[in-house]
Amino acid sequence: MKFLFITLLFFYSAEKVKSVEPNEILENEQLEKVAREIGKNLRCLVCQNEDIENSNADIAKDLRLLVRKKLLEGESKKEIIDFVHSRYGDFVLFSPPLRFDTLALWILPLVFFLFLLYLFFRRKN
Amino acid sequence: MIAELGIYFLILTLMFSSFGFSQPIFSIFNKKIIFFSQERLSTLIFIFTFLSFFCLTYSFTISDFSLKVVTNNSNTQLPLIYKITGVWGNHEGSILLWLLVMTFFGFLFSIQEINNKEIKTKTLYIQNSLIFLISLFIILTSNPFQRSFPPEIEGSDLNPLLQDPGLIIHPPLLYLGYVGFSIVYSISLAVLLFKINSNDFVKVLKPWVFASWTFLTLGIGLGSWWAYYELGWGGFWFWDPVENASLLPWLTASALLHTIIISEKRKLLLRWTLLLSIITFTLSLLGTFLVRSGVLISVHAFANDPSRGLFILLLLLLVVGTGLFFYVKSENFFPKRNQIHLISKEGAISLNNIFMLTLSFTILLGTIYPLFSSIIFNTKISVGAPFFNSILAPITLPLVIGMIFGPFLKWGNDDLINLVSRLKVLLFIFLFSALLIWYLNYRGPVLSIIFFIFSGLIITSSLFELTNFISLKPKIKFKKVPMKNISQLVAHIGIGLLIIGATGTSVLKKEKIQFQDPNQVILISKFEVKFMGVKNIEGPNYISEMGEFQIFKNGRFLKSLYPEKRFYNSSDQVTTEAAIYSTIIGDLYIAIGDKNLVDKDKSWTTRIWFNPFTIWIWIGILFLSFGGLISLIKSVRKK
Amino acid sequence: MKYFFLIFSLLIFTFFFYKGLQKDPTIIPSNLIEKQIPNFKLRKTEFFSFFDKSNLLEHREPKIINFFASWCPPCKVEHPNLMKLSEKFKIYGVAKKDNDIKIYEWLKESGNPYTAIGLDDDGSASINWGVYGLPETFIVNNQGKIIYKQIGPITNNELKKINNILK
Repeated sequence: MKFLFITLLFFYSAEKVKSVEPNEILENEQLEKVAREIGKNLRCLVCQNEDIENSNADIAKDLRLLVRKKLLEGESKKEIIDFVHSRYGDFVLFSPPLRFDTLALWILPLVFFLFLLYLFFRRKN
Repeated sequence: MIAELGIYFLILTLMFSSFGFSQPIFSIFNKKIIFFSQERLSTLIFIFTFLSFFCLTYSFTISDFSLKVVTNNSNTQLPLIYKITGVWGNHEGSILLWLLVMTFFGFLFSIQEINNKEIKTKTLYIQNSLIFLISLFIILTSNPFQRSFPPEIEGSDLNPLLQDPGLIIHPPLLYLGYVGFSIVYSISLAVLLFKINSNDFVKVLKPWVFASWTFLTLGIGLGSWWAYYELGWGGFWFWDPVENASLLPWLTASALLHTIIISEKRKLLLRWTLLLSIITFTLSLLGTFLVRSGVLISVHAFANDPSRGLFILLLLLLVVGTGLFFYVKSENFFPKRNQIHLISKEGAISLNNIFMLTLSFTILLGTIYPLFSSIIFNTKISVGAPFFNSILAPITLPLVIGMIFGPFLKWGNDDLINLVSRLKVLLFIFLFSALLIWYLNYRGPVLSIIFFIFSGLIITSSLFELTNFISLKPKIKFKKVPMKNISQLVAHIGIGLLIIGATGTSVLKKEKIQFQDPNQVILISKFEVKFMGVKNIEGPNYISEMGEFQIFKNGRFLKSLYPEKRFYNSSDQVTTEAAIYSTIIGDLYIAIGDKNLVDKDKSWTTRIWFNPFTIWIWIGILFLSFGGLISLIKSVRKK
Repeated sequence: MKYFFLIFSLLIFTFFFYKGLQKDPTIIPSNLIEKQIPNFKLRKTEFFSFFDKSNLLEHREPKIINFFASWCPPCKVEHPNLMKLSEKFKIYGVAKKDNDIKIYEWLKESGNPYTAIGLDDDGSASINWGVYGLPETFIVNNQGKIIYKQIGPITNNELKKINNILK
């Protein structure tokens, strides 16, 4: 119980959703668009299930600024996402990387679909 | 005193529902032991639960802070309506509401006129047993009448986000949906468990499936609408675990709804009807309870409590285990009789069901995969919006195709070539519509064009169906359209509208975020938005910074909008209240941010969005619900 | 046969749900364990010794790196335990988005466990270390490899754990 209390203290309560501030938005519309795309894939680590574009938490803002800074320095979308991924691990990515253990996420639905086709349409003698 | 009465009535519920469960068992040994019929028990149980709920509501209304739950979730400054509806703004109160709805539906079922007495009694038996389990859960782990000693002078407050008209209707509507499926489950389990050899059950099942589905549709739609205007940045679906959990039973219920149509008409897929009934209620339980167990992270999460989690797990196991066990066991007296041809109405409906179930499965998989992966592979991953959005298109598009052509297929066995020749005119209209829509939208992303085209086609084909009921010779005459065709038409048009709205709002959104000075005009999508400044206003339990924006189009004044930032007195929380101007081509959505203290003295951060076609999401959902309502009325009248 | 399948899948489901109940979904494990110290840039304070990456690689001895701030309440909670640790080990502090004077005043009053302190003004050093909240503490071994990360304040239990690791 005490641990829970301290953990809650630790995660500073973010104010409710505010999203990108005017002075964060890049001048270059194209780059800003890419920044948003990247942002939608990055999880706000201290929030409940929000991405960094739509959170006012400190870490979300820092990551938003980092993404834009790197874009201005010419890094690619993949490079930036890989960088954040290398620092924070799988959890920060909202779409899990394609790996042996995440394969099931993509394959199982297909298997399920084919199985249902079989169940519904098979011929009984 | 009232609180003691509250718990007393709850215990009575527990007691009498236990009679409902145990009497038939004891009567095997001694026939004379039945004192109460299931019907009478259902009535009594409902009365007791209602009284218990009334006691809780009363305690909230008079701000009785000797009750823990009132202290934690209410406040004397709260407007009266939120004191009352705050009853279900917390775990304990909302579960009691769940129980109330369950007993209410049990009561309704008991006074319903059902020819087959066996189905009626046995269904109530299952229902009362379920009620016993839920009331046990409440008393053991979620007692709303727990006292706090010494009593507080003032309560913490209801979360400001919940101080909104949405709270008044959203949970009750949602629960009417979820809990309606308890009756659906009870009927199905009764048939399986007691080997009731009669196809009457489909007729009994139908109105309850449609009623529950309609309520659930409205409940989810309302939740989405509420999130849209309440959260301050125009999103309406976030793939949050709790949202997903509400969508799952809706999807399987939609499949069930279609299966029942086949079952009624052709006596096929009866086992699927039973299976889907069990699965839908299981998912309802899973949805309601998953977020209260601490297993998932979600914005909707209640305070976590592992002991509740354990009870919920056992409850789920019991419900789904018993259901599936007797389903498997029933193979002998309920044999399969499926001979479904792909090219036929049943084929199209079955294919649709397959896609709906696959979507359901995939969403469930995505939601629990992080848990699954952390236990097996010891990794910590996230599965969020990008994943769900990517699987949505490939599964929804075939569904839409099914909706477009399904209504034109014949029952039994149809012929593809014959179909094409029957629909010559329609296909030509399709081509024309597709090209028109593509032309109007070619600047948008490809996927959005595809969605617009397909939803346009659903609407076109539904309207085309109506032409079947117009005869041209000897003179133009309108035949009476059967109710079931109307309900299908309305519902499918609803889906089309919903897709248009959802696609427009999410993909074609326009945004302008800036520091705006008073009298400065921002141009967005043919609107001129003029900022007039911010005033401080006092609300009942908050202080608000209220901005004023004047909206012009081509220089002509349209309307003033007043977005706010509210600072709540008791909890130090801030909420953003957006201001929305809805038109049929889209919503102008405005929120204010912080005052700019650094650069200039008077400018504020303003966020202005234009969300195309948003209103069609809500209209589409209303159409869907209306379609369900028509079917419901029809199936009730038939008796 | 079908019953077997049914019971088996129910057992699996129970197993997962039950295990899930025992896990805390809010703890995020570090991705930098067993990896070398990352590159990072800090600003020098006015009152304290400074350090950079090369300092952390010197002297082939284990070190503690603690991310904190004077405005962070849980950091104050763990402070006594940091003082205890500083008696035996070198602790390097990274102050995130903080103010020289405020740090000085706080440490003057409560004691200074830090061998050296650097300022992370824009949060970039924190990101390089995969830090997402405060306080967070890392243990680096004598070869410059990160071997442990503590999320949240160092409680008495954690203190014991850290002492054991550093032996």
